Amino acid sequence: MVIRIRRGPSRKTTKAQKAPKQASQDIPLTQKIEENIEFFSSLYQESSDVIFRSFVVGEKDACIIYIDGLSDTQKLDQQVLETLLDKTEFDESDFLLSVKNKLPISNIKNISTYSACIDSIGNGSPILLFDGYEEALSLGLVKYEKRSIEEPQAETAIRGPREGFTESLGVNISLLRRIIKDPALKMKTILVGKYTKTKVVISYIEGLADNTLIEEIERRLQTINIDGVLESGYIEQFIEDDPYSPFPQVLYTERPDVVSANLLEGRAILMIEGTPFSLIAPVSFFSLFQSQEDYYERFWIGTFIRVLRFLFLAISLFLPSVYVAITTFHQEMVPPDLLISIASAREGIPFPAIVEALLMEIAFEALREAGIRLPKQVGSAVSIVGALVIGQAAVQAGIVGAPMIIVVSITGIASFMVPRYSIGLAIRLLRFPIIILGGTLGLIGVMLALIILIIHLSSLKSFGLPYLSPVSTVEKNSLKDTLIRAPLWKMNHRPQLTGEYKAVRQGPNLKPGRNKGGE
Amino acid sequence: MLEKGKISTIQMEFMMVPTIIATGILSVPSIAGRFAKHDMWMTPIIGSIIGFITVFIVWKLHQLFPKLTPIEYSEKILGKAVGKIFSLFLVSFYIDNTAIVVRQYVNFISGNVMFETSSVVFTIGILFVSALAVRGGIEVIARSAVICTTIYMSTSLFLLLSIKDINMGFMLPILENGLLPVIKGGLVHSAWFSEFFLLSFFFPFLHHPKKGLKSGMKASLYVMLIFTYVNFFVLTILGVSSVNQFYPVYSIIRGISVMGFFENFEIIITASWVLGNFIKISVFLYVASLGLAQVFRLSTYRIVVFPLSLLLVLLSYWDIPNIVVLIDYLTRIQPFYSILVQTVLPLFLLFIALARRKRSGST
Repeated sequence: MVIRIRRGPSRKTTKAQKAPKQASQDIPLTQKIEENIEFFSSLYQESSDVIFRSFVVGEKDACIIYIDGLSDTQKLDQQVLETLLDKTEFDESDFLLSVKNKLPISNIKNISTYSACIDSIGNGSPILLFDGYEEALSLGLVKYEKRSIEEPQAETAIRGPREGFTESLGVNISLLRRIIKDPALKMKTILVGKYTKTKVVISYIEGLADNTLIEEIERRLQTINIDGVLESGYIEQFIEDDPYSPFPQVLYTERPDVVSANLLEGRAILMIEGTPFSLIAPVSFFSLFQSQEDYYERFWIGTFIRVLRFLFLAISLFLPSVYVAITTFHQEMVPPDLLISIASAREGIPFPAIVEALLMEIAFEALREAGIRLPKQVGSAVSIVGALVIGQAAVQAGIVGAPMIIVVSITGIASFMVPRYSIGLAIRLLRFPIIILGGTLGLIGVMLALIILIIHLSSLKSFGLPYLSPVSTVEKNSLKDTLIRAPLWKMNHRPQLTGEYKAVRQGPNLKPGRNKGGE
Repeated sequence: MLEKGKISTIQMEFMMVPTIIATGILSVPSIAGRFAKHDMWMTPIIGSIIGFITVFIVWKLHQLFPKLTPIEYSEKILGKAVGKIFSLFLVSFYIDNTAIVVRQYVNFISGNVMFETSSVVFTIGILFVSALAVRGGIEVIARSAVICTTIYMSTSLFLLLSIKDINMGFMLPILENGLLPVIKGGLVHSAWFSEFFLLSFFFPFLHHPKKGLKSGMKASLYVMLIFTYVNFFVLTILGVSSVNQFYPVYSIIRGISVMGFFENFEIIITASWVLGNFIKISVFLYVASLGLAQVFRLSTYRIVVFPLSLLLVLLSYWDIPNIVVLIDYLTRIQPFYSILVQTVLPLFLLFIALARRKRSGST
């Protein structure tokens, strides 16, 4: 007897251990409820939060399995258990259907495999098992604690919606559906991560997004075989075209309006469970310099800010290296008065300009990183120390020249001009090799660095879209939304992405005016 | 097909314009001015005739053999043995030409900007970046060309800052010595315009091959206008004395001073010329590598790019001992040599091809 008891569960546990591995193979449920319960209890052994509630309906054994804290127990008690235990008559000939009809739950599904049951329990939908049936009911009573909708922290706007995505996928989808009501908005779900089983939703507008693009994204997502997905960055790094590039080939945002704008341009969105950041693909270099407010404000301002951004991109990339190159090799280029003041400031400084620049840039990066990671109270102390010690004392001690401090500060400010944080990271990284080239080969070295950068960007693609398009491919219609931001009534065409696309976005002759609509 | 990429006609124009003018703008005005004196502003217009003719010849050849490069169709036209010799000659011509272009660029940099750094550093630098671009394929060259050419061309607007120093009197009297000196000067420009033969390597890779002729002609026109623009400024600011300078445009830029503060633009111009020369060398290196791979029927041209670049570093020093010889070569040899190889020989190819086609068509 003892032996049999021991053997019984042990055989089951082997089956249970196998089960997660064979989850994709879909073992069907058995008719006997004891076997089913035994399977689940061995699977969830040592999981005190999984609750098995057995009861009898009519003459049938039944069991509800759910995870405490993921499901709405109040509704489960009041709507499910009460109905089932309330001596309600059920039609014996089609028992499951009659149960389904009696339960006041809108989202209720028949599932017939162990893996589907496991998924359902994991997602927070309780499952309802009956003796004698190979099917279980998955009750859509998901309820868990979630953050309320707040204004996005990383992407604030003066003008524009204040709602941001949250960690809850369902909320994010509803935010999107509330903006785009057309049924052409599609959501495809793929589970990624062996243990986290994170839901990744591919969202696109049918007819606007290229079908091959969606297939390609799906294919790339399905090849991901990792333990878990904790943030959109995990997905991003597994679906990129060129993993060695410092440039982001997928854009992330936590703003539903940005996501909607990109959907309407024919791009695909990846929404990931557990993170407020959605990924946008494909993107080009110039999408990284577009901010939602460019479109909400008057186009003159939009254009001006765009131009300013590219100017400051150049400054943040090249200013330190150009300064180093000019003070080291091309002094004749500086007007005499300026040269004298720079020379007098640099007088007595022990380092060559290149060392000085590298020193200060690294110090600046350290300050910036320290300011982000430290608790807020300590962070301000760091910035005071940084400003005083590095800014003031280093110059007075004659270790660094004052012009270098100015250059580094301007560079620092310039790097904050970029609306997307991820491209700012790439620029920070690239600044250092350019300084070294500028300090060794002068401006020619800086130009060589620029050329290498251009070559790299030219060979880069994001899901088949050339990274420098539409400028490097010279598409006249799309150029209206790159360096400049044309008036909305002028942008009659969607940007050309990959493959087939619906070019016309809006009706012609939308230009408003006094004489519009009958004199 | 060794090249799978496709480019658009606009990208081709963006590639071709700096390919012609990048080195041309450095010293051609003064060389042409040596013949044409105060009529030198007209020389590009005369020289461009060869450009238009070359584009037309190349276009006709392309129509006869669409999807083929000259290396491939010369074998079809001339037969296997002679065709092979011809294409080998063509490839070696472009290898040699690339080396000269590299030398012109490096001479300029180390003679005007970086006096103390060893010039071989710049040779290796520019060939390295060009080889990187060429390995990326024609699409990468084309896309980089759009960006680089835009920056490169926009700096030519700096010339406008010197508009207050213009003296139209330097242009007079027009055609004092007749047309002959202008034609002689135009011949110098023709050497550069004949480089439009390079189009024959790009026509097969166009998205819309039918627009090729128009786009080639447009590129030729742009080059002519830019040369005229530059020659006009060289002549009206420096006068005929500009013929004594190796780099007259550089001299003009040096002289620009706005409000006593904005001056010494020459380093910016030099920096942007690096971009232009990068495109030029990339295009030449691309054609040489692709041609070499096609002559020897290699499976990919990418493997020859870096070895060829290494060879070019050496070649650029073997060919030309110093700048005086370089200028002499550009004045006396290159006009005839370049036009012979890039315009006259293709013309013969076209005649033979047409004759063969007519004969095979009639029988």
